[in-house]
Amino acid sequence: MMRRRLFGVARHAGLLVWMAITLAPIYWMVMTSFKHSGEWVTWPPRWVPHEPTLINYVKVLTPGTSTFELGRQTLKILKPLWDSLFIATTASLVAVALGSALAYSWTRFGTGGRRYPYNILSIRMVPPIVIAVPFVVYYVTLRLLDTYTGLILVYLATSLPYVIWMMLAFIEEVPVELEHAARVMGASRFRVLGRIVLPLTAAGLVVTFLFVFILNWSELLLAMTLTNTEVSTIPITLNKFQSANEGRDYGPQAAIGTIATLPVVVLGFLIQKHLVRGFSFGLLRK
Amino acid sequence: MAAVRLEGLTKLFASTRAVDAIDLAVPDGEFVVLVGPSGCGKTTTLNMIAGLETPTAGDIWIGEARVTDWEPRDRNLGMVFQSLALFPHLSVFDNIAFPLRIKKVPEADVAARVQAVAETTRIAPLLRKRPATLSGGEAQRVALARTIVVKPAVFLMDEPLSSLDAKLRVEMRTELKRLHAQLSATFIYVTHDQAEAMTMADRIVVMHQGRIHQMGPPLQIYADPANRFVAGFFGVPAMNFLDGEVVAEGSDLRFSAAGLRPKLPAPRTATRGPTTLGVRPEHVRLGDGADASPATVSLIEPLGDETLVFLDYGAPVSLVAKVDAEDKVAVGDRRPFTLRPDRLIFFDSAGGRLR
Repeated sequence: MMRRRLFGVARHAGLLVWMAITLAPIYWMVMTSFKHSGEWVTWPPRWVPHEPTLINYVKVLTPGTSTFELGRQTLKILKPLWDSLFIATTASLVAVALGSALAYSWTRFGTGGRRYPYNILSIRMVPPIVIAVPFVVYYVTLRLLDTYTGLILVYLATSLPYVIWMMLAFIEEVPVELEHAARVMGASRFRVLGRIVLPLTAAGLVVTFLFVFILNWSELLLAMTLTNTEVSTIPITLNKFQSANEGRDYGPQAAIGTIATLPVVVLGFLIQKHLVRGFSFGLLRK
Repeated sequence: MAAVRLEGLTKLFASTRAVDAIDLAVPDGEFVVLVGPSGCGKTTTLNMIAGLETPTAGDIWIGEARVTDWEPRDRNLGMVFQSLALFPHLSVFDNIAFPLRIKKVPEADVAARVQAVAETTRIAPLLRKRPATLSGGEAQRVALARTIVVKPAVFLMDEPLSSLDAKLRVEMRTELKRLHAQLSATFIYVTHDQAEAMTMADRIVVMHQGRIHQMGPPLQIYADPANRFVAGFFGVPAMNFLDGEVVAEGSDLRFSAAGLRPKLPAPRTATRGPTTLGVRPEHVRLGDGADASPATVSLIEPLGDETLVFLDYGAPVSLVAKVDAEDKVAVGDRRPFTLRPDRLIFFDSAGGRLR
């Protein structure tokens, strides 16, 4: 009894320490985003802003083009924000739709042969830098460079293996007898998908979507290689601070960072129920 | 209501013949049980009748229609699965309503019919629950209710009782039999449990290695098995098999194995030479007689009403006798025994029945 309690205390203490380690940089980023420039790099560090301000957010979120001010660069992010949202959402949605259809047909009908998922997985074994340059060559010819379609297509290709592998696991958890039962009871194949498979894999679909969305939302290398001026994502924008000639503009940078993490956090909270829900297919004894 | 007919039904998986040219006619309203060890092709046969597997060859008829290539949903069947296959994301009510809603029955009728079937299957208080919260017996009833609610012409059941504990299984057997009488529908029931087959079937179909070995009423299968496989499959404990040979002794024929030389009753001509004799434990009698063979009791297993006595008569395998519990037998006793002459059956070395 005593030992169990001690163990519980120790475990919680450990988790708290770990949480502090992971959250510290995020805390610092969020706080910096509300600080005036004078407080960005003071010593001793200011843990909370002396006079909280929204100026950094105003700077980055006002419409218009990027500016220099006192040698410091401030970037506008309304356009990149929209581009990122649009590209990551579209690519992730299409990837989840196509990938789960593929996973389903492979689990149930063996489409593509026994080794198919492994072949798909081999796409992920190639480092992105290897495909980045050939993609530029293709994209120049196909006129896809610096376009939404171009970036969506490449994200779709890189997300698909993840979607297929994650959805394989979720679909295999749906006993095929449930589908058989529904079909004998009069359901067509599409009905079976809609009424049985979809509800039972909903949590998996959501988790998979979130996973690839985060990947696509934060992808930098391919985005940098395949875009120029027309299309620009948040990671590219953040990266541009590195090239400022003098005086790093930490406040606006922190503001952009905070904004960039927001969609992920919000999505995470929205689907929390699905993330923690266990898969208990109650009555199916094997 | 409909009869079911299988003609030369065959299913190949890669190069294995799971089901090998089966012919079977199930008349309307019959309770037929397909029984056999696992891997004998019984479930594959059932799945082909349901339309969940496509036959490699042969035809399936339900009623007047050749349904071989019909979709499962067009066959007007009800099926209960081994896992019961209750939809975990739907309440008991929605589970039972599922087939009705698929068939676009008006919602008012759905409620009435679900309620009615829930009352006959005694699950009315459970309608709001989720399948995961039900006990084994309750889940079983829900699965039945969901099948009954659409009044199918043919019921297919794939080992539906295998997940229940022993006592409940015996109760459900009775309930299923009663249900069959009420519905007067055709039942095709698959099991590996010979006791289930014996107790419920109008007619048993014994399958082994993709083929039908024998069909007939339970008692006929038990008393008059077509071959050694069928003889050994039915009955607990299993039939005794004694390897020996039939020899002539004067004008009599005798079976000779180890210390055993029982006289054979009827004139048997064609059965001389190496033979296997089969005798059920209840046809082995302890006691002296003209034809008795000496033996020592090596083990006893009391069952309550009866006792199993293992007799050592000189052969490597002991002979099992089922005797009345009143008969006091102890290990080490020397007890001669006789075999009931009219209940002996013989098999050739390939396991075929010698008549």
